[in-house]
Amino acid sequence: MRLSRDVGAGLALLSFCGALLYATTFFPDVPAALSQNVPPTFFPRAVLAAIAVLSLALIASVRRERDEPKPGLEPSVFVTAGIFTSTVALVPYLGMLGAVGLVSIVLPLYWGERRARRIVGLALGLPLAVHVVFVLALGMRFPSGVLW
Amino acid sequence: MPDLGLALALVTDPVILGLIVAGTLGGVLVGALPGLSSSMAVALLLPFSLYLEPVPAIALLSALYCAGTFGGSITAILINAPGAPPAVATAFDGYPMARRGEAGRALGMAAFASSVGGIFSAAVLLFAAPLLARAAYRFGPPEYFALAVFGLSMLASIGGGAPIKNLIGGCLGLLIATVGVDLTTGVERFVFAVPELYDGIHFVPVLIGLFAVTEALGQAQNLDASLDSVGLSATRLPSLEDFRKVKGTIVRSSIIGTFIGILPAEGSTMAAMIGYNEAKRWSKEPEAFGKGALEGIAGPEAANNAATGGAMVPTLALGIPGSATAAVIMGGLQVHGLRPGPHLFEEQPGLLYGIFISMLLANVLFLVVGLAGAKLFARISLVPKALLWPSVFVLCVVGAYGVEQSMVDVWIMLAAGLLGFALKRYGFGAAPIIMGLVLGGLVETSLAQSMILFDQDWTGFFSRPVALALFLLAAGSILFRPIRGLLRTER
Repeated sequence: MRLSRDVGAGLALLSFCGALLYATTFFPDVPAALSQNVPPTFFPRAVLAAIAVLSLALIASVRRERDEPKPGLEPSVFVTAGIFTSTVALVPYLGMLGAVGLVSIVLPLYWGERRARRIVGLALGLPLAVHVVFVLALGMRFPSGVLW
Repeated sequence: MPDLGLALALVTDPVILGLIVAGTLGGVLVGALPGLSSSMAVALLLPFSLYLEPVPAIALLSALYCAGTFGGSITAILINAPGAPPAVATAFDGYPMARRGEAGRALGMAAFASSVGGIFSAAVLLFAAPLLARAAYRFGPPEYFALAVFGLSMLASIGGGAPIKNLIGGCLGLLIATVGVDLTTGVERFVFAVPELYDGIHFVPVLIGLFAVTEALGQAQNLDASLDSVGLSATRLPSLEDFRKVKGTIVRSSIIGTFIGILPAEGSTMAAMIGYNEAKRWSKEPEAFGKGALEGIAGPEAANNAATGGAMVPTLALGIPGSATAAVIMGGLQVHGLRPGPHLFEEQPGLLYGIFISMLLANVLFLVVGLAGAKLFARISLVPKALLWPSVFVLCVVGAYGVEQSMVDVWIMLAAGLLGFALKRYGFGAAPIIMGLVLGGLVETSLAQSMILFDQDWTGFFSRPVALALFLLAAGSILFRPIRGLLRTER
């Protein structure tokens, strides 16, 4: 049997609430001098309870008709997400400017750009622009990477 | 009464003027690029505005907000791809006009109506915000808690058909705001032994991720999509007769848009849709709508830009965001160490005028820019996305890093983007999460203070008439739709 998208979302949210509610039991104890205040678990638990109630309402509101089938995720989404994640993961090794230069080559190539002059222009122009604006003008300090 | 001397000093400050011009040009450009919204642009620019003084920074963001809202109409008209959600209704009639060779007339009308709506709402902002702030002067923690709850409850009425999902989104935002050390008790919550989370999750990386990375992944889903474009061969502008024909529509939509904007959480998109529907309802030729009616452009454009000034009223005067972009600007105020609310205008007397002047000038400027540079902006909108989105992603990484110069923030940005994309697939929008996140601190702190005030007896809220009225309004806005649905079913 296929679950409706909203039922699936509601169940996922309920599990999420359950897990976080469990996490609240590990909050450190409140110092005695402050114990007359609202406990630190109160607000997160109240919000989690609200999400749980709303999730149940979401599940209950699902109509009997079947969902319109939604097109599945294209592989390009996963690859793009992978490129984004790899870029961030590579910053400590390549440095910010190196990672910026790399993503400026890989992502356009993957997204279908084939004009070499444009890709090279972007790969050189973006790190240069980032360096000029953020390092030289704004005085920001980026990770330099271990490979340089 | 407005301090005209202060306003004049701001108008003649070359730095502020330069930033307003830059914000306007950038806003029109960003608005014109499909997929890039003014919310995203303001979020991306926010970390870099930290290098400016508060008044120039907020003036820049406000100009970007106004111009970005208009910019979306350029591509809506020329290539049937609304640059931003508030311009969706503009495409209904703008694109058919462009196809029949009247692109200049459609663009001219969009620029004019947007400009009038924006100027009207900026004037309302100048006078209404201090009045509202004065009314809220005596608000204590219980009233603020009730106000924040009311603001969140309004999420039930935005975004069309998903009130429950919007409310869940708002609660998720509140939950993210609880991460870190609890200020009242010093207890760590949800930090999972990550020292960088002790100070909580900074909202700038979250909103950059939710707005920009989510959209970038959405673009990756449609790599083969091509834009259906028409040439801007006909650059004839609207005639005086055209303006005369739509003047009633523009006045009506400006008032509607400002009012919708003032309501917490209701933004330009809803204002545009209502502006369009009202324009059609009042029109002598409703059958022409959808086929290229000028009123079909004037209505939504006047309304969506009028909502920008309206949205800033509760944001500044009460600290309750009037729209998603206003929530981001409110975040900007907080990042600059300012606390939006009744006392903001006392602490920063120049701020209101800075925002007013920037919105006023932005609305005048984009009228000129929109008419003179429409052809150029339309061409820029056709920048291949294989080149555009890597640049946006680089800005996301640098922007998220720039807030605290921490890679943890970059990971948070990325996680927010991936999560935002997954949530969007299931119908949960980014705006409610942002609203919850920005209001999270206020909700929890005011609740804790209220409980201390009431000696831990929550029935104390009933002794505060303003708080009680706001709770009733909140309940009304949550229950309105279900009750209406039940009544319709019974009939």
